[in-house]
Amino acid sequence: MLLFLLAAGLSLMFGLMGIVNLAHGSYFMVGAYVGLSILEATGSFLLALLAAAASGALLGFLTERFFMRRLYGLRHHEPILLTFALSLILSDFSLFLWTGTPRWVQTPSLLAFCVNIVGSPYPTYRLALILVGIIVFFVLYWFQEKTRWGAMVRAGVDDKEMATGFGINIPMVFTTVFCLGAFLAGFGGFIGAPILGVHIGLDIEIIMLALAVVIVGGIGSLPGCLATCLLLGLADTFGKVLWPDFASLTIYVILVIVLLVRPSGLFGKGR
Amino acid sequence: MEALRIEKLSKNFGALQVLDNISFTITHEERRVVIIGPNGAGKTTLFNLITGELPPSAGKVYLFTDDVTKMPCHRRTDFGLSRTFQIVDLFPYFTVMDNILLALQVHKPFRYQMFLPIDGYRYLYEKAEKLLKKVNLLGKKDFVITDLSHGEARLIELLMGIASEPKLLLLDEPTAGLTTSESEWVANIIQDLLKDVTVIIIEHDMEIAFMLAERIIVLHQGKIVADGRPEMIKTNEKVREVYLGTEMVM
Amino acid sequence: MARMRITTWKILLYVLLGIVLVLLVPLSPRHILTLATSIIIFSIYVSSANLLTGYTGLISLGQAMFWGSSAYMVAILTTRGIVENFYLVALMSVMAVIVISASFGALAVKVKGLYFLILTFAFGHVLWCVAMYPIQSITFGYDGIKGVVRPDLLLPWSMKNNLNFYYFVLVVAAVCFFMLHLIIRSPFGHVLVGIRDNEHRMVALGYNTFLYKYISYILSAIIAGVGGILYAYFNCYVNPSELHWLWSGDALMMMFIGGIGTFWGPVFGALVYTGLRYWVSAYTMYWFGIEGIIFILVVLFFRGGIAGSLMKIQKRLSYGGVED
Repeated sequence: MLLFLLAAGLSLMFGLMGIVNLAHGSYFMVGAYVGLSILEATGSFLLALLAAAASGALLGFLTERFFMRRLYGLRHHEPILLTFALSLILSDFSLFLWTGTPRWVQTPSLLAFCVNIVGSPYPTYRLALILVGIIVFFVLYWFQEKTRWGAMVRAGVDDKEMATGFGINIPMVFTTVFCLGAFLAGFGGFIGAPILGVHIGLDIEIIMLALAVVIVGGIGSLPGCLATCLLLGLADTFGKVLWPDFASLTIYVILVIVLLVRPSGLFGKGR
Repeated sequence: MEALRIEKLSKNFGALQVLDNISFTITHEERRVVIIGPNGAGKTTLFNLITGELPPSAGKVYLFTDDVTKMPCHRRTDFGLSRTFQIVDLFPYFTVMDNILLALQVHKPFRYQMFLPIDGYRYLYEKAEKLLKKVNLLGKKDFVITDLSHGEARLIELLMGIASEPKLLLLDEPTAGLTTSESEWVANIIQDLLKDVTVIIIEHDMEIAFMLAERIIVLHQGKIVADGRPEMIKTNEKVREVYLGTEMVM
Repeated sequence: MARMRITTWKILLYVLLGIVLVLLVPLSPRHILTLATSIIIFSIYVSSANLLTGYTGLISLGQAMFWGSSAYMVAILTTRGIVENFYLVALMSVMAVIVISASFGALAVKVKGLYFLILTFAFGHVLWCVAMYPIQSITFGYDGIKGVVRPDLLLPWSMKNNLNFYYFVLVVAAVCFFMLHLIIRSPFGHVLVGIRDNEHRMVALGYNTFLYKYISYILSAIIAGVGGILYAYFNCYVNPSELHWLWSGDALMMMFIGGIGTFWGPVFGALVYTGLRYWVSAYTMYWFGIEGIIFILVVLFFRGGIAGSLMKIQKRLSYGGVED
């Protein structure tokens, strides 16, 4: 579910701008750290969450404005490498600010209990996360499919030049989508903190997973993204019996198969 | 003997039918066949199907009596097929000489050889220079493609098609973007250079088309509207209809 | 791409390089010798990536797969006493790399561009995961394999002596670079660059581009494998990070910094990267961030990397000059 938050943003960004932003994982991690700091300072989970998301958006905005603008014309591999370099910078930056000790965030007391589902106890927090994920999905989906803004985004994806011809301010649309994606990333980073913890390296672990999800699910396809995340979650639950990192491995094997057989992804529109 | 046989060839992209049940045969004795037709008639698509860049939706392609319909693009040149592109498709950062060398080297056994430098193959260089001389571009052999004028690039494009000494050459709008005098010059080169090659040309310029052609095939909306000698095409009713409203220099 | 015209100052440069490598380095303090050895081994690695990426145009995140596999092969074979003979170990490691690259390559080369990048990443990561868990008994998982002993070349000089080992590495590197030089100037190499610049036309001309790309993939894997073998013996310890995709990413970084698609680019890249890392690490632990900054600067402002920039300068100094 967490993965979904991250992957959704990435999927939109990739679908819209054809650029893979490897720094996206960094937004996740930095968001978590920022949230952590705010939590320690104010004790308010909600405030920390907002701060995390905001920092994500801010980073996204800065990245887009000063960085990505230069890259739109370049061949696809250069943005990947450059954003990778950016993620390295952000990673060390975080290391500098927050040191390398892994940290933990307490589950907010409101949700720190278990609920009985089908006979076994299940942490409410995780349920809340799932709920949040679903809400986000619907919001994004509605946004993408139904609103005028969403239509502009889609037009931009299909044909940049035409869209500009219609008077749609493409740069602004891009920036907005970028910020939105980063916002979600930062949000996800902190909201996931009680489960994943906060540590350096979080960005690398999560970004490749998110990328795999985006491609398997289909670039630019939100339902595909969601479905893949669910699939992954299932695989994780069952695979853990076999070996700890099973889910991670499965998704990559699936990724390989998808890339070879159906590069547009399970739900993709074909690129 | 037949050089090219198209049998009931069709191509559609989803609902869009680009070519519809095309059939014709071209023998190796024929020298210049010109394909004309309004935009969107499917001419370049036809070429793409012949060379194998696109798979057909239906029908067969025969090169020198062999069924090549399922053969991948790069294998078809083994039959003596060669083609040029409507939009010049060269190696932009290579020199003229390197471009031609690549075209010359294709069917040579040493193209997989990785130990001796290519400089050693002097006769390749000589062949390339001979070709360049024919189009008066020998002096520019060390120029990078991006430094050439459009007309010059077009000529190199033409040479790329000729270099491998094909038996069947497909020229896709060889005079596109050229001035009238340049076009005439290219047409003359085509006449001179290719005495024992069957050439199929897609042309938009009617003067050039009628000047070069021994046989004309007219395509319209994916179907063959007329197929025959230039004099017959000139007077063909259906052809006039197709070009109704457009400038047609007769 | 045209014939190489050797100018006098180029010869001078080569001679200088020779002197530095053969005479100066061995006379320097021990840590410089070790550093130089590692730089040379890394430049072999980056050259392998350069063949596939710079010359054939396929950007890959899978080079670590081959470097790491051969390194692990060496470690496994020697630390368990399965095979003692160095030449046999080297041969088996290279064979292993050929098998892996031939299998993965047949699939990988079918796709292009971004998909190829991600596919090679996925292959590499799957291999890494497999090495880390299921076959832990062989690879010792996250701990890596210690205790690799310097090879016995059956020559009068012992490789345990760092200086002798350095010369050995130098010779192997010279052979690798010479072979790369031959490949690039050959008809085969010519075709590879053609594929890089315009694969569509190559296919139309009649080249079996799949086969060329496949061969290039395997060749670059072999060279990476050679580097891995040297590294295992050099470091005497094989770490999971040698197999991890981040190391493939490092190869790309080094290649870009040095100058992609140039002959000496990989050497510059390895030099700068390793040297800087060594130097910077003495002052601060934030190496990754700095690496990132350098990379961004190079890509945005010094297009063509170090070697590329040098070539531009050379062009301006001797207009009309032709270089390799």
